[in-house]
Formats: sequence, C-alpha cells, structure tokens
Amino acid sequence: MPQPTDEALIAYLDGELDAAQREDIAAALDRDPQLRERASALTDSAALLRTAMDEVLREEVPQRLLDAARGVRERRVIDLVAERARRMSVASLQQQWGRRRFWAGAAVAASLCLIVGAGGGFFAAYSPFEPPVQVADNSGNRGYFDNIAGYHRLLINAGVNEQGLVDVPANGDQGRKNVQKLPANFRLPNLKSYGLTFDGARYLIVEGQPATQLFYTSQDKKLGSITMVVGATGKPDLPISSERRDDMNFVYWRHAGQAYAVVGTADVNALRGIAKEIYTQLNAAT
Amino acid sequence: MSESFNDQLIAMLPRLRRFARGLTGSAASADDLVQAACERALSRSHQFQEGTRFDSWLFRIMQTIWIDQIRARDVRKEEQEDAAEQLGSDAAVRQIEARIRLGEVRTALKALPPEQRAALMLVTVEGLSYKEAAQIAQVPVGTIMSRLARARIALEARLSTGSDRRRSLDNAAAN
Repeated sequence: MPQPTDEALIAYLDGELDAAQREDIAAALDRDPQLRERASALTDSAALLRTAMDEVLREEVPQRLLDAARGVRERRVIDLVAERARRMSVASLQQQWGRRRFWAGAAVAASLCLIVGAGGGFFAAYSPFEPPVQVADNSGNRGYFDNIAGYHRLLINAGVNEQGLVDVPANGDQGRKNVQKLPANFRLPNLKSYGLTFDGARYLIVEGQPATQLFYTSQDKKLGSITMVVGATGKPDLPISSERRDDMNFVYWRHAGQAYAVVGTADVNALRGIAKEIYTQLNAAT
Repeated sequence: MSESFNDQLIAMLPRLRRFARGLTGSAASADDLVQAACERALSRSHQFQEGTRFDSWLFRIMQTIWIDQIRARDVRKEEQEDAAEQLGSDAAVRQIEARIRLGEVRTALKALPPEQRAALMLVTVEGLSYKEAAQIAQVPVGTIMSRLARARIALEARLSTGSDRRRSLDNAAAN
C-alpha cells in the first residue's frame, strides 16, 4: 500500500476522510513510526497556532468596533446634527450661509481625508448662538490618534466608492449639491492650492464623539492621504506641533477652544503646510 | 436593524478580530478590516439568510474585503518579502529567538501566502469544515484541501526550523 500523501494525512487529522480512507491512514500510521512522528508534528503545530491566535479572543474589543457593530455611527451623529439644526436660529443660519464656500471636484489618484468634530469643531466655531457640545480634547492621547489612524486607513483601504462608507458622496456634478447635505454651519476648507479635491464625507464616531470625515483626492502621490480632526477643548491655545506614530505623521494645534489634528502618511512638512492653510482659512472666516 | 443582528455581530467581534489578525498579521490592519466588515455586514444585513451560519457569512464578507484590499494595494508580494526578510536575516533570527513560541507561530503564519493563511485560519483555527471553508473562499473543496496541506506543512517546517535554531544557540551558549 502506498504511503499516504500529506493532503490525505492532514485531512485524516482534520476528520475530513470517509471511513474507508480513515482505515487506510490508520493502518499506515500503525506500521510507520516516521509517519506517526510526522502526524504528531503536524498536530502539535496546529495546536500551537490555535493557542497563538486564541490570545486575540482575550483582548479587549476596541470601542470603535463595538460602535461599528452596533451601527451607532449613523444613528448618534445624525441625531445630534438634527437636534442642533432644530435649535439653531434662522438668523444664525443666514449669517453662516453667507460665510460658507463650497467646492468639490472629480476623484483622482491619492486622497485627503478630513475628520471634523460634529459636536464641536466648525459647528461651535461658527455658531455664536450655540454653546459647543463638549468633545474631549485628546490631542495627547494615543488611543485617540490610533482611532483616527484606524478610520484613515479604513478609508484608504476600502476607497470612497465602498458602499456604506461614504454618507455624503461628492462625485462629479453632484458634488456641490451633496456637500450641502453636510450640517448647516459647516464650512469646508478649500485646499485647491494643494491640488486637493473634495471627494465625499462620512459621519462617524471618534472616541465616543460624533465627527464628520471629509475626503479629498489629489494627483500628487507623495501627498498620499490625510485626516483632520476638530473638537472643542477647554485647554489653552497650542501652536502647530507635529508627532510621528508608526507610519503616520500627526500635525495638531489648538485655537479658540478648538483642537485640530491633521493626519497622514505624507511628509510632515507637507502636512504642516496644509494645516497652516486650514488654520488661515478658518481664522479668516471668524 | 434588528437588535438581535447587532447583538450577534457584537458577539462575533472577538472571533472576527482573531480571523482578521490571522489574515493581515497586524493588529491595526486587522481592526480596520473588522470595522469594514461590520459596516458592510450592517449595510447588507438583508442578504443574510436565517438558518445559515452567521459566522461563515461574516467570514466571507471579511475575506472578500481583504482580497479586494490585497488586489488594490498589491501587498501580497510586499508582505512575503517582509516575512522572508524577517526569517532570513541575522537580526531577525535574534529577534525570533527573543520572542516567545507563540510569536514565532504568528510570524510563520504571516509568511504564508494569503490564500493559504485564510484556509488555515478558517479550518485549523475557526474549526470550519473543508466544505464550509470552500464556500467562504468560493473555491472547490479540493482547492481548500491542497491549500491547507501546503499551509500546514510550511507552518510545521518553519516552526521546526525555529526550534532547531533555538536549540543550536542554546547548545552554543552552553558550550
């Protein structure tokens, strides 16, 4: 009788053979000590693999995954935005509409993503009649940066065309119209001078707080992808600073009660330039 | 969205993370993959057929997203080169020697080609049958069988090599 193949031996160990095949393999194992040793080594390595991977089961599940599984992203953010819109006076809406400039364009190779805190950020900055919804300042918190990096990578990996990921698409001629679906007093930074085109937006939760993530695309491959976070903070102003974590650069600052972070794999000087542009535009509008 | 669907999804998160960790070899990438799978599962919950295995449906969603990512970024070659480099260089050998045995297993897993990694995770770790794994991977059972065999043999060989290296170093240190 021929020696069983590796496939057959492993299928035997996995309990995938029928009775006749099992008997053949069992007989071969009985008469061949080397085959028994081989089977034992394969069994041991499989058990080791299970043990190694089972460690993941004992890890704490990140909040962002629990939120994602609950579908809390859409519900919480949209509820909050709707509530703010109801409470906002007509006068303040008219005032802010006068300030806004919207701008959108076609999708191209690389992308820029902005995450804007829906509970604070631009809403609070441009809403003098509204007390800002408190959003924790997490500028120095590793978990906060990790979450932002996670959302950033998710969008890069999945792409803006992934169904369910983009709440406010900005494709082609519909771009301007779609942007207007964003919350009432939201103002989109114009980064055209960097060759960046708005390519859609997404509502999400960052560290348990609602946020809006904006996507920009660029022809410049070196620029890569960038994420920006804005949230209300009680901390004093902080000049534009930078930090590197793993493969990403973070540029962050605080101004007038808002904390900002711009994130991406681009060169830190490029990110700083974009951050300064955003800073300038936002200050010019106030 | 039914409450039970969300609850089932939450209950599956640890296993989804384990499966994703096995596929990607990286904690951060794995969680990104889980998040993408959750969001796609929620957006397509109406496609889930009651009475079928929820875990298999989710694994299939996750594997599809992962394959799309690989195709989009062509990370396969890069990952294999990284793994080969890790296993081949002196510095990497020292690093492996310093790791615990389970770290070696994860390194060995990451060194496998993606399709073998997926087969190994589905059958050996998740405990699915060859038929169930074949349905998730959308390939014939025979393909799963051969992928799994190659993966198991490669894994065992890499772990044996690691053990031999450790023994050699231990002996050298003892002498």
